[in-house]
Amino acid sequence: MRKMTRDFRANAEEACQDAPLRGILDHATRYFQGKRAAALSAFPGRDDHFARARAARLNALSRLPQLLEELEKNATAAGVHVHWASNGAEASSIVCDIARENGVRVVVKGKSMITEEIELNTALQQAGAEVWETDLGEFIVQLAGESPSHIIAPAIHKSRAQVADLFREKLGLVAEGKSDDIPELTRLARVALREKFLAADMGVTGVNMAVAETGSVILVENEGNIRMSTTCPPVHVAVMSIEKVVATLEDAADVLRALPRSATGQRMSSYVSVFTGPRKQGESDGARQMHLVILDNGRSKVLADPVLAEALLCFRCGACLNSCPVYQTIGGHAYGWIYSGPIGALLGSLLLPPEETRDTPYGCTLCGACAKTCPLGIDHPKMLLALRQRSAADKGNIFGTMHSFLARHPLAYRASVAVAGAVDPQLNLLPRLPGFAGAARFAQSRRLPELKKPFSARLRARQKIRADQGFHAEKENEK
Amino acid sequence: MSRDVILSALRAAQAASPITVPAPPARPLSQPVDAEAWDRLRAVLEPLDVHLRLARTPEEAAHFVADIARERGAKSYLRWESMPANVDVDAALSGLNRVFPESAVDGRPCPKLGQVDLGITGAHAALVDSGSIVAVAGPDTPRAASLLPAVHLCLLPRAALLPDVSALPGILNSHRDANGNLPSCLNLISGPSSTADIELVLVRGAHGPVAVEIIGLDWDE
Amino acid sequence: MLEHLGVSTVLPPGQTCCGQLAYKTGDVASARTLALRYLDIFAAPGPVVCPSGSCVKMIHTYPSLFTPGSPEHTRAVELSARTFEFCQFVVDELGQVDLGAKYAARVCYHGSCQVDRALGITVAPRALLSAVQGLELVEAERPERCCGFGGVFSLQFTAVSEALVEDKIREILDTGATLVAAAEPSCLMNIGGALARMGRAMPAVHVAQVLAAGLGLGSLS
Repeated sequence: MRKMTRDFRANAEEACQDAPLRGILDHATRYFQGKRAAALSAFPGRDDHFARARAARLNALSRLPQLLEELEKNATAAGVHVHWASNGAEASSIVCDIARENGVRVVVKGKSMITEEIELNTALQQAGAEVWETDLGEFIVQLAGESPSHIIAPAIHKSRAQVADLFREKLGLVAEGKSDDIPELTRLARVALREKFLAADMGVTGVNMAVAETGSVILVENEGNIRMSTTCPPVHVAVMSIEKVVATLEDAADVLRALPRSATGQRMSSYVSVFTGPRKQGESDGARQMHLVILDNGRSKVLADPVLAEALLCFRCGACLNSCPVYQTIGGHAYGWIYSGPIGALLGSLLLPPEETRDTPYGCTLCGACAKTCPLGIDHPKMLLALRQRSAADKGNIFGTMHSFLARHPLAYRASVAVAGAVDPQLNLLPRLPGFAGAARFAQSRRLPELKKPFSARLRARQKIRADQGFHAEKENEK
Repeated sequence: MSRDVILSALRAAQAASPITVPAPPARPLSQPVDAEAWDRLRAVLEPLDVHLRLARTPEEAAHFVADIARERGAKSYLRWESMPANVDVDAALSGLNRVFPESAVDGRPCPKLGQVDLGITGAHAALVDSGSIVAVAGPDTPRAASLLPAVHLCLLPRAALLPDVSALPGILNSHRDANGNLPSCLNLISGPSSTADIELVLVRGAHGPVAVEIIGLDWDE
Repeated sequence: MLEHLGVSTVLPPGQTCCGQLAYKTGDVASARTLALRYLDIFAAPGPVVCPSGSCVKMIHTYPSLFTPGSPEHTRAVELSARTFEFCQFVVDELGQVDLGAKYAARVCYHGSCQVDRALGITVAPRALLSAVQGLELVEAERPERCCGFGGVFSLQFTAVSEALVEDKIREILDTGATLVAAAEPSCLMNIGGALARMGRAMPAVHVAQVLAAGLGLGSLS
């Protein structure tokens, strides 16, 4: 999926005028927020649990290189082949090599943002493998040739009728009875993908958490497609970005206490799988060969940044997306990459080249809903502001420069306001000046405030009147 | 070597801007397992559409197994090698075809497991707070039993009940093998397979079981 | 209002801008310069009161613009500690809630992300309005949701900003209120400006204006 982060502003402006999309987003974000609010209000000790989850993640970031080495050692001892990749191309190459060595023709995949980030599917397909996304939402967007529009529900933007059409057109799957009955469509996907699971040569997943102390990989899901992808095929490849490690099983349990409730309002996701190595002697299922690919892809640079490293705490619950008034209005695709919403704006700005994400930090009203919602206390607005500071350092803006100049020179400030007040009190002409295009657009939907006599001038006039009225008047006013 | 590049970049980052981690609050106490635990479990399972039956004897448990098989119209089943408390599952399901997990040469589960109606397991533990069954994979406890059949039936001994996921490290450690290795796979199963990916309409039975039935074995072992 | 409450006020000359605009567009250097101006302008001791929540927040942010330990930082900390939003000053510093005001109207209070969230001032404005005799206080369905202004955001992402203010106005109108009040002038300009463009007569006014009207000290047209 081609990145379109450069077009963020235009895409955002367009998306908010898409009425059906607005309706879907309104429904979806309210749904998630409702489930989450219900779960959090019935969660004794919630704030302490969230604080512990934050500590577990922060501890991991503070000891990242040590924990990654410990993870490698323990995973290797458990029989996992551990690989390291600096960037996406390298990671994809490693996975393709594993596929080639094992004569892999069919790959089944669990939902994994990191593998989308590195466009692994394309690499595997180019290497001649058939790749099937098996999470229902990802399966749908894969068939549609689109990218996911939400971290938790990738195909939220698709109606049942659109899904029915996709299944019919792309796979020849036709539903019995009512053609867009949702359980029936789900059954079609179940049957079609079960065949793939049982025939697949390799299962590829991401990693929710990798536990350094034991070398374990933990995966969380509701559908069972990750269990299927790691139980049926003989080879399991787990891809993780470096910040996914936690120190201990205790830390992992603390995270599991918080993550499902924050993501979907569940006490626990339907399936949590803790893998420590491939299947053991005598077992009849599970992968015989397990690989863990540890990928940097720009994170080590972020970790070095004292202000922005906090973005790496994220455990992908999606709550910030659902709480963000901008995301609620424009949806995930407008962001132009796989990560959207407040955390997506941060990750995109941190992991992609600056020239591709110039507008991204500005698509935010700094309302703080995200920071308030985040169970891990990530301060998205603070970081977006820091990104604005860095980009402002190398580009100016005429409006801002002018305003700053006037603000430093009160006489000039008062004079320009007085002139504007005399010439254009209703502020009709100002928006038409060059450089004020934004104000022009703003003025189309808001009547601009009328320029009246400044408060300071009115106050001075009133005080003068009082002084002129003399001692007697002053005495009266003191009552 | 990418490994060295990455680790040295991270060590440099660590030295340049170390992160201090304030001590977190103590973990809130878990609600202990007591006489009300089954009731609490039932209450948590209800919104997950999981039905909990309590059996007071192995015979009653076996009856429930037969009932469930009949209600579900099951023709075949797959089970863990040993059933808890010697509940005679095979006798209860004498009319059904028992399928055995034989792997293909390359280790894949045989496709016929994907057509089995009922998968019967015990439980190594269960987490009351989240309604989670804990299943540890092993030669006698295939992963497929709780995953491939349409219905997962779990026989859950009272002694297996634990408060919540904070018990996970202890559970894992108690299942280390003779060499001290952790199990290859531990699953927390909290309800049937589910999805709401199409229009946020909840559907039970995406890729895993459509339904989970639990028979609580409510006696001392 | 302050004079009515017996507070003698001084408007120091030379005030232009607290630097919020520069700061939020990333121009820290200008923000710092403007902050230094304000440190001088408000150097005299005594509380500083402001009817703009966002500007108060900016002044509270001044310390972060300077190196800890520097004289500017010390002055910024000192100024920040005695700068108050208007409602907060009346209720928390003057200890006044019921001012004897009377104003019969259904008033929708817009909390503003700058006041409710950024400053955490949720009680004082609502308390002041609730105490007005005859005033029925209501809130939008999603009172905490941003009105969509966001300063430079409204100039760069105009259509999104418009969509958000339309949502906010719809919720305000749904309350049946005849007036919307807030402690944040930028929201009032945004909401009021949009209401006017839509041809709606509903005034968007500051909490202080409602109180003044209720005391016969001013009018809301």
